[in-house]
Amino acid sequence: MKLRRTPQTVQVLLELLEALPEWRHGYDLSRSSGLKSGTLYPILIRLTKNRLLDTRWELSENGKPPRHMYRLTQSGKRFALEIVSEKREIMTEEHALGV
Amino acid sequence: MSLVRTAANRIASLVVRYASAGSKEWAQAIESELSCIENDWKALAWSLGGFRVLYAIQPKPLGSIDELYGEAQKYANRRLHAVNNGWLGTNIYLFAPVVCCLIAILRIAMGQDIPGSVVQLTGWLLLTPTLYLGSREPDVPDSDDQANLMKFYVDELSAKSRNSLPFWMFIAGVLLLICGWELEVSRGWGAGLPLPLMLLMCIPLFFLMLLLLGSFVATHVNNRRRFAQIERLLGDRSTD
Repeated sequence: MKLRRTPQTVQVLLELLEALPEWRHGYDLSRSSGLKSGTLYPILIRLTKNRLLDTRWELSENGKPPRHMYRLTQSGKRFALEIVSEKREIMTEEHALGV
Repeated sequence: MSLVRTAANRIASLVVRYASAGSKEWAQAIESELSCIENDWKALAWSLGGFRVLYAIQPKPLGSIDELYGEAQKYANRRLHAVNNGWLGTNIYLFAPVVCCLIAILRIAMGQDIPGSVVQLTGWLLLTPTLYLGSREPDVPDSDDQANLMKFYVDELSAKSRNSLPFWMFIAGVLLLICGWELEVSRGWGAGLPLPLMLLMCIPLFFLMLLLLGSFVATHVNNRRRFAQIERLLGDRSTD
């Protein structure tokens, strides 16, 4: 499956890249990226289907329900780094053109 | 617990309940995050966003040939169950479109609203065979015949795919029916029928057809993704 590089997907990928090697929770990702659950979760689903994201359940204490956690896979990390370098190139080009 | 928080929890549970098999884990993930959101209104907004997961229609993941065999068996059992209901039990719902066809023919013969009736009749004539194909008695292989059972499952999924004639007959049938009703309504409007009566007749039918179309598309998406899973699984197996 081909992954669409929407600004929101790029944002989520960058958030996950910054967090490596830590795992992130859905709500934390939502707060740091400013994305609502209705936007964030379809992106996470697509990333997982493309094998760019690892998921696991974290057993919580104090009788709270287990939480779902996310971390980039090796291919996810490569993909995110590719996006970062593309973004840098675009910024350099824009800078050179005086945009 | 506040009313807003209770609503948030209820909505999240509802999404978990109705999420497709492959998306259930994601619906549960959204539900479990609720316990970490302190603000009740934010929790409500969070759980409402979860409705989006309902659109992510995904079948249960297939990891091995054994799982595929299990799914094929379950599917074959469902089809056999339909056969065991008897001809009448399986096909009783086909009487409604047949009666509607007859009504449309009568209306055409009597010269009443000919354009609307012709369009409706065409719609029903396209729709009825596809409904029958879905309920016809299948040639289900024995449950211990693994290879043929899996082939049967794959063939049935492929017969419901976008490349098949019944798929497009169904879509065209539903759209023609909606157009036929619209024509009938516009004629009724011209004939001076009161608006509330016209709305009372049309709105439930319109929503029923939309529901039918929505459920058809959801099943189609689920089948298409299941088919892709099987192709991937069998492809992986042949490369091993």
